[in-house]
Amino acid sequence: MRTKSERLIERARKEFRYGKSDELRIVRQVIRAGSEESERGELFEQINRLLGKGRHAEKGYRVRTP
Amino acid sequence: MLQPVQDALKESLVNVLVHVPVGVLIVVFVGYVVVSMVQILRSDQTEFFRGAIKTRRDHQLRSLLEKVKEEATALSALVPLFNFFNAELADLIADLGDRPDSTSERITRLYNAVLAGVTQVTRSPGFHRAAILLPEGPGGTLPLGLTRSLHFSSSAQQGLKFDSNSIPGRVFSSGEAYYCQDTEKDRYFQKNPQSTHTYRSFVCVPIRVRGRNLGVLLVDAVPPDAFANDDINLLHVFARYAGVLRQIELLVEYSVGEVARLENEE
Repeated sequence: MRTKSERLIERARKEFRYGKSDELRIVRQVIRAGSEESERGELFEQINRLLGKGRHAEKGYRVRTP
Repeated sequence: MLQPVQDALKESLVNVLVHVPVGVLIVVFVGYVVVSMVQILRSDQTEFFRGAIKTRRDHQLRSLLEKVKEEATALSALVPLFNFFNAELADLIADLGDRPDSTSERITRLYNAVLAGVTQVTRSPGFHRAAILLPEGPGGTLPLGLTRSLHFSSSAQQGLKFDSNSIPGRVFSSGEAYYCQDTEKDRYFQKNPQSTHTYRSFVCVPIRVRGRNLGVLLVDAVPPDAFANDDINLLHVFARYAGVLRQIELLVEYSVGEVARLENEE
């Protein structure tokens, strides 16, 4: 299944290819899509856990501080 | 008569030998403790008295971790943007033979996207303008003209030329990036007499391909010292994209010229 960010990037590429939108708007769209995607991955999950954020903290797991 | 004198002497001796050193020791100890307490409050030190006392400074580590996360998030958010440029450049090269008619328009759009990327990824505040300066002299020599630009006024686009005495001209000749932290203090900076706005800092990065300087990427900002090292490093990446685009543009110009020449010969 495609993620929201992948869909956003694909739409931005289509708009770019067919000249439907301003380049500045397209670049902003791609960067926004990247921000959506950027907190994925194990490292971010670990940092969120340490900071007491994210799903582990919400579920009431014991949050260890460094 | 001797007894009181003896007592007085004994008392003063005790004072000198016991009370004064003990007092001094107490003052030194209390001073050390006070200084250490000030250190605890003011620094991020976690060990005191040679490691005998260890403090936990969770709030500092947490704020540091937040900062690291913020940096990492901002950097990883750029990956799709670079993927976007890579994919578009690859498609452009692949389509060179199939759809040459649309090449020039796509190159222009990609240049614009590079300039838009430059202004968007620079995280320092300051109403950034960006431009790609290409040589307008015979055989790719100076002066540099404002060939592609974003947020520059139309008069600036036509009138701005950079010769060998200007900072972009020097960057083009030397191939080394230049960061002008404050235009009012920079002795090499020459103010544009027609300019209505003041931009106090700017960065010039050479556009290089295989050691050859093809142009200069220029980004400026209203406040002085507006660019961080990370921003300048990112500008080098965008200068590489601009370099590849320029190379493709030159290739297309050359092939169009060759085709015209062959047609004339026939």
